[in-house]
Amino acid sequence: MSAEIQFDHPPLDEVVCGVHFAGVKWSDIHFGLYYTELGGRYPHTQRRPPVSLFESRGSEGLQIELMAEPQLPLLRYESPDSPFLLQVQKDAFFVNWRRQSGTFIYPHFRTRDGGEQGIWDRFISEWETFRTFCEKQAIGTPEVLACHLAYVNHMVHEAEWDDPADLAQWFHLLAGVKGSSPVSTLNMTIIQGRRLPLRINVRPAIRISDKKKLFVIDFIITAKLAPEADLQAWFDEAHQVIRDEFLAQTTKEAQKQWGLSYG
Amino acid sequence: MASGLLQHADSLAREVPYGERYSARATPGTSASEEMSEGDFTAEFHTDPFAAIRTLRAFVEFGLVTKVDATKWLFPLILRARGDLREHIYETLFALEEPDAILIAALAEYYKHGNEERLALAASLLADIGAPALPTLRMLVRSGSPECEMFVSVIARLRGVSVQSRLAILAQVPANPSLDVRYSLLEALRAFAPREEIPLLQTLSHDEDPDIADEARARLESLEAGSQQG
Repeated sequence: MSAEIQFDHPPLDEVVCGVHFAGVKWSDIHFGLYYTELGGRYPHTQRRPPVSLFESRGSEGLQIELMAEPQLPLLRYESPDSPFLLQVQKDAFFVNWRRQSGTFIYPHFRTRDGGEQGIWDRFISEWETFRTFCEKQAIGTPEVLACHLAYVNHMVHEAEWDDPADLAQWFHLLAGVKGSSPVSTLNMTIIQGRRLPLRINVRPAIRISDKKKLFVIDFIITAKLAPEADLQAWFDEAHQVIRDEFLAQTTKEAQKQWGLSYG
Repeated sequence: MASGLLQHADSLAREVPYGERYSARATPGTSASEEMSEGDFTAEFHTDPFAAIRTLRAFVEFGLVTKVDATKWLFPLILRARGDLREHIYETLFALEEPDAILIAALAEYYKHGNEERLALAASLLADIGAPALPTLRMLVRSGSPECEMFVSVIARLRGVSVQSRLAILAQVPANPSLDVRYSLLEALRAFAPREEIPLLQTLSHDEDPDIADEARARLESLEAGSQQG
């Protein structure tokens, strides 16, 4: 196990742990029943279109899916008092940690001594609640098919860059970026030996809270969970790959500015 | 940085050693948005119109929404807006400077709901945009549509465009089947110096409508008399 690392003020904005599951007969009513199950911990909900992160891409080309029934949404369960939120759709479950305004307080992936509850610990706790809920409702036991871990970094205009080319000061992989208009997207997949495949996405976006222009730089692992594999082992490995690659892909100067320390 | 890393673009991606591949182009992150639909914009507009316009402008500035789409979404909202909001929408549409999109949105709204104020607003915007609106106005005149009426005077006074160019476009107006459009040309020609308007007045003096032809002839006679006195 590598030494633990810490950044005092990294560009990290969001961390997402999620699973794609099968074996549950989810319907519209379960969104409401699950809300009740949460007991007011996430009082606000928001309907969104479902995400398709877990679509198998085994066959190439156009695929058309005929749907007899209206598509069920993704529902967000949020709380103004918590940096965590849940996202549920008929075949996927996510726990997001979001940066709050003000002082940066990152709970880390795993709970550390004397620290806040870690993201993994929160995820597994909420996932167990969700599994229990499904069983209690007699709609099936969710079987995990694939897992998702994403670290979402925000590089904000006028804070970290004025021209997109400035991003090269922070990320090695953006060394070739020229000041350009229109701003484009970069996707890169990194596969190292038999480790989980990591995807790095760089894309322009607008921060919802203050309409600031920024580049989102995602470090994402989405991969199948083998039938006998352990969920915790998958997330530990994914976390390790993302951590290692973040260190490899960022400049020493950036790490210094973000306050990297070991131990 | 590990030299053994295999880095490649999507198109070259090989099967990963985990069986099926999963699409991971995005993540269900929640605090930033890389796209905006008309529905997103309209929903925010109904809650806080000034904030919605600020959001839209941010998306446009960063190339995430085209100026054409922004114009198409915004134009229909101007008619019901009042006071500062109407002025703000107008300024935003002016800044977006998409004359084609303005005209298309205005005509679409007018055909659907009527109310000439829509056309008047579009005409005013094109007039303020000036020279960059010339190709749009030329296309409109060539179409021979009755909606040209509102725009004839805009062409006649269009900023940054030479007299010859403006007159060349207006030379097609006498062929417009609409009497109102042809009549509007009589008024619009007053924007020019007497000797510049004479050729078009001469054309209008042969108009099939006797009122237009009479007025054109009267104007020509008056100009002739004026030049003799001068």
